[in-house]
Amino acid sequence: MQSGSVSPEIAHSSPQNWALRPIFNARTVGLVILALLFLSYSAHRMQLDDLFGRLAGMAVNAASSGSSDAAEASADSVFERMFPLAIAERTPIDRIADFDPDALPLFAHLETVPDEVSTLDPDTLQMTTQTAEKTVLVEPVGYLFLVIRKIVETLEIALWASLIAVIMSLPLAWLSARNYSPHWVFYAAARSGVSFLRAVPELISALFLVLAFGFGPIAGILALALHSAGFLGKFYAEDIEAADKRPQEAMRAMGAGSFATLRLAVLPQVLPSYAALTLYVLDRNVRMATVIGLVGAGGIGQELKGRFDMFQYDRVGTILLVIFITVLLLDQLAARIRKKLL
Amino acid sequence: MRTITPLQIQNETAGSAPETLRICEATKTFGTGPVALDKVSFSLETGEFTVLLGPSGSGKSTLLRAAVGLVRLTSGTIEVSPKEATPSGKRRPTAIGMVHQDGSLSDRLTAAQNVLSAMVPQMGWWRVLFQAYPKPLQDKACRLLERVGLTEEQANRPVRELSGGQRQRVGIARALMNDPTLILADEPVASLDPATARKVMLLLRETARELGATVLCSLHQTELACEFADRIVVLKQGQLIFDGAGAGVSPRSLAGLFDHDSAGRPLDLVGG
Ligand SMILES: Nc1ncnc2c1ncn2[C@@H]1O[C@H](COP(=O)(O)OP(=O)(O)O)[C@@H](O)[C@H]1O
Ligand SMILES: [Mg+2]
Repeated sequence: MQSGSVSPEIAHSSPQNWALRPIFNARTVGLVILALLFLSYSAHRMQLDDLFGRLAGMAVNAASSGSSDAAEASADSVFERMFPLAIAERTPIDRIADFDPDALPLFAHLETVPDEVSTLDPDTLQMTTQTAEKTVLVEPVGYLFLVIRKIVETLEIALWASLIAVIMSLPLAWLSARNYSPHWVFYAAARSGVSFLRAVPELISALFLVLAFGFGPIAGILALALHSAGFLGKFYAEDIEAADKRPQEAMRAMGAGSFATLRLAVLPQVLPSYAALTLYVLDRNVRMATVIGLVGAGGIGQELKGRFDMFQYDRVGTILLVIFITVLLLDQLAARIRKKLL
Repeated sequence: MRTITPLQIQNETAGSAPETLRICEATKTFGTGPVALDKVSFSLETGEFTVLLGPSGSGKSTLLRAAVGLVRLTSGTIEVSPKEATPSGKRRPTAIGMVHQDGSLSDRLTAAQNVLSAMVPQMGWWRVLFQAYPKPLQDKACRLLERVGLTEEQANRPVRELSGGQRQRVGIARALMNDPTLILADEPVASLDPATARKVMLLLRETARELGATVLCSLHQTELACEFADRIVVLKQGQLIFDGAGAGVSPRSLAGLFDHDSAGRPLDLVGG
């Protein structure tokens, strides 16, 4: 650099006279006030002020242990009805096709319970209640097992979605990295494709994919994969663009083509970041896979929605607990892998 | 500006030896900026160790990069005998080895993988993908790494875990990998301490001599230039201002060529 670019006045005025940039000025203050005004307006629209009022009301009610209004009562009772959690599965044997009492599932036993059957007498038009005996198959941890099976299915959905997303996004990243895209047409197409994929929320695309592929995991896998591919495509490409240019130029100077340059001078640089991004996507897909089940795209969410709609809150409680534990465990696992890679 | 009395600017040496690099009126302007290279002409002679000397921003990198097609000249040509490399900037003969400043190696690849990467222009894509180089090439890379002073353990270490001097040695081994007849080095010792810099320069000169390769090495240190150069070419603000034999030139007189910038302030205040 030429020293001539330093103007003489600055170079020679005494340090006491230097004007340093202030940390904030009238403009910053104005912007902060505008932001606060917007937030208070938006808070009103979102009924956040109402929420604060109700929270305060609830606190007062709890303190005086007075009666609370209907909405809060039902929320309370949902929470209460979650306990005890449903761990066992009880199935009346007459509902099991080809039931064989000599070949019970592991740890299962039979119980005879009184069964009240109400029938309408067609002559008297009276309800009569008869007590009969009914045999039920009790599997002590049967429901927990079902939930775990569903969680495993959810994890599989997340895993496949992430795998497909990685495979899709690698070529997308190559085409949408400005310095490696073979042609600007590919660049523009890949960039907009990636933005589009990222812009469509999983839940929305899952709705349509369920229509196309029916209820079940395929819709879920595709919905998650498309969105994740949009995310990974963008960030993989940005990593390629931001990679240190010097090793790449050295490869170019040796006459290496762009494939060799990408492989030997870019990939080793971006790999740790790719691994971190991919782990994040996997982590996110596990959480999202539980959600998209709500629209019928397979996994634990589908079970959750069904039980919720049938008011079986004890089962809902079990599901929520298992989801919570799974996400916690995966978090730990991801943290460990990340530590190893970086 | 000072006048240069003790040294005279020589014209192109009309030697009989075959040239390996002929630079003819090389001119480069980046965008609307000042000229980075201003009608630079000179030729190298086979087997010579030529130092391209000049302060920061004088156009050394631009010239060397143009020779391997990383920079496209605005006008003029750089011929690498027997093939033409620029100004079309397309293909360059593979028999050029280039040593760069620190940072040009792939940090997370091992020293050996970096050296072997010089062979990728001759490799199929799957060999590149899996870095599966033929055994004879692997042996050659190991020999080169040993020659530049690395151990087997260091050869298998990611280069980011090597010292600056060791990294430059790996860079030299990489440049030697494809048996170059011409070695271009762009400030190969700029990031090293003086003692290590001397050792690396010595290594560069010796290995080049063993190969019988011609060297064009850019430097900004006049002492090193005087010590190692058969011939010294001085660039200043894109212009060739001196071209002469290395012997009989003192660092002091060379420093006088570019010790002061146009604003008349001493260079060491500005930094490099
Ligand atoms: N890619 C570039 N774009 C714009 N200007 C450049 C570029 N590369 C070099 N220059 C300019 O060209 C001049 C010579 O630079 P360079 O060849 O790197 O000098 P040196 O290697 O001798 O330090 C400098 O003024 C520099 O700012
Ligand atoms: Mg330079």
